Amino acid sequence: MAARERTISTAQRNASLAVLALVCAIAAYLLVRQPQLNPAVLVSLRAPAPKAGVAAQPGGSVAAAALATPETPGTSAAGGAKQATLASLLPDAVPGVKALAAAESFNPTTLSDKIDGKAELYLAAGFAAMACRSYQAGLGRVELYLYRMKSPDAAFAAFSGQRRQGATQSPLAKNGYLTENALFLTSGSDYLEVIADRTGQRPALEALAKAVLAGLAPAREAKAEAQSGTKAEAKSGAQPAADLSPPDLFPVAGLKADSLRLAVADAFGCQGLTSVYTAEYDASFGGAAALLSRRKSPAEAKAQLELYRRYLTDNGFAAQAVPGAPSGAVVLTLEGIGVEVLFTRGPLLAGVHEAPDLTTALKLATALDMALKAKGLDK
Amino acid sequence: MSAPEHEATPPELTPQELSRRDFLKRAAGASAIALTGVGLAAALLDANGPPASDPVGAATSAKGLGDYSLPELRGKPGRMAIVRGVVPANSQAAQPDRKAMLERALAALGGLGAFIKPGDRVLLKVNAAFATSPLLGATTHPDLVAAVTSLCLAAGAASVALTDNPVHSPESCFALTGISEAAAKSGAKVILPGENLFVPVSVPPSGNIGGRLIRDWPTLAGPFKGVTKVIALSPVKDHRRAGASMTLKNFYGLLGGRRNVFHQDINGIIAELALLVRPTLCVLDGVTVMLTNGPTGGSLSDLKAMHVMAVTTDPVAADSFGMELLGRAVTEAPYIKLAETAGAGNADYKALNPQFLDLGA
Repeated sequence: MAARERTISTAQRNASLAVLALVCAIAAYLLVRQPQLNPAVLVSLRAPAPKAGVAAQPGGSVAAAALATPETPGTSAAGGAKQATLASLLPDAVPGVKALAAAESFNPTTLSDKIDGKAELYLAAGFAAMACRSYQAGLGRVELYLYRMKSPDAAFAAFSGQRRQGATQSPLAKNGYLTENALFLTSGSDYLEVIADRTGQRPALEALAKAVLAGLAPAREAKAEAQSGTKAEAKSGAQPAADLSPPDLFPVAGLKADSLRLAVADAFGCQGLTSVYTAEYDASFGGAAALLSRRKSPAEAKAQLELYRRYLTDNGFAAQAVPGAPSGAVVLTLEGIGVEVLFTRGPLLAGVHEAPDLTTALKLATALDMALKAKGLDK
Repeated sequence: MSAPEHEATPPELTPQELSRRDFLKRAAGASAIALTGVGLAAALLDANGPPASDPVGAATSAKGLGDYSLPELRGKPGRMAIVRGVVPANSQAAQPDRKAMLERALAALGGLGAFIKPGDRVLLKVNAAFATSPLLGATTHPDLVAAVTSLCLAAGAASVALTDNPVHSPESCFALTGISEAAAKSGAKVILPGENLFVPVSVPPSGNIGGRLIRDWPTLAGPFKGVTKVIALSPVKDHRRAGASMTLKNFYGLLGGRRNVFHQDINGIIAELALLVRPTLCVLDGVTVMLTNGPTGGSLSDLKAMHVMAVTTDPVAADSFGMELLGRAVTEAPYIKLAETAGAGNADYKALNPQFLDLGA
């Protein structure tokens, strides 16, 4: 052996060390990689995570267990505190209504596990968390969904984006309505859905909604106090026009009830066009919609106008000079589709969307311009 | 103490210090070790990869879940019948009789016996995605499940089973939708999506579709074991992400795992689903159509009574007709055209010369 050692050169030693290092590196790589199978295969090979409602309720029948929807396991630790708070707002019982199981909680990653493709609506609007719970109300079943959105605007976007026409105004909230079997409303940054599996459940729907609103009240009151000074100013007529939100600025004549909507992102399919309120008008305006978007500055309003103008022209619309249009307005038409009118007033982007003809488009644009002038927004 | 000279400066290697014999010995030893390693690796190689927990359907999993269309109709235009039902004036029912509608449509296509033969083992792919009442129209109606099951059994089917991998808990979904009860009463077996029923499946490319998204993806293959005929029973719904949820989107319920990753390419995945399984028949239930706020809906005002049902061998044609019920152009659900491109059916249902039937006439 000693003779052999004497034959080893520095180059040989270095080469062998390099080979050994390479082998060790390969071994380490294999050790790290070998448990990392294709995730799809992994999922197929292991037991799927138990879904809500699978576990039997203590003391309950199998059928009762099947009807129950216990809390979803595995919610993220990061969102846990927030979601637990949200879930705790869903009552255990109200008169005539009793919870069937614990609340479930969902975050932006898991929302589609509950509502599938409808999650897109909430995520696009600005979704933070959701809690839901099932209740027994007489012979019926009621589902309660409480969505925590990132802002009141986001809540309104979720609310208005799926507003059912012809519904009854709810006495519980300004932004609230009842259909034959369901109640929908917003409260600050929260959006509430209470859905029964049959008609005739209005007392149960309202009782549940009231209980949730009562839980939300402390936060709402604190916010209201903070805003009370501003409201007092508004009542005295001293509210600056710049503080008025778009919903307060649309002309009232001809406005269809419950037609106000907010597109938080990609309004009218235009990427980058954000926070646009629309309000639909009746036949006297050809069924067209007025649009308003408050921006941070007049320059931003003009930039948004230009963005949307370019989007329309890219899609075949042609700009034309039209006498009688509001000052500085851009009028775009596409045969067979309709007329769009766009203008800015200070930080506001304003306009008319999907007017059937030029006459009604100009009529609504003028009415909108006049309404803005009446509020002191004429520049 | 000084270091030995050969450690500080190793001597130059000279040919005399490594004899030919030593070299050959070392080379032989190294080769033997290398060959042993290669041989061992070859002996341990599993060319098929890890086995599924239940290798059911392993033979078909690589090529999807199977083609259950009638052999004599393959490569030919599909067949289709569209029937309008009525609510009898003296009836207290809010909806027309789905069984009567189904029988009328099937009669126009030669009767269910043209599709289901004695001894057939039939699998119904229902949409039980949500734990909601059938009143909300988000799932396959239990009356349709009962009607199809009883007609299949009457046609001599050896067995009828139904399955889905719902969004919510399977037990709750099948119970609350009324499907479990309908199945029990009519003689169908409900197959819940147990873990052992999922097998990695790939969809082979066809045209420019397939082989991209569903690759070794856990798929509900177990219920297909031994099945000879497949019937899809689907509601007609608006779908926020996909534009519409009807027959092809119904097959989304055959996917397992974290399938919501596919929402990023919803049209691509639904087009691949059209290749995943070729049903024998498709029943598109437009008795009540969810026009808005799909796929969950929630309010009865999201629904519209249309009292229409389509029965066809072509799932793509079924969906193109469904788009008409929704009042939308076929292009508003791009996956329909993609599925047609892949050869899964015809995106122009009128090309099938459907028979229009009216129970009220």
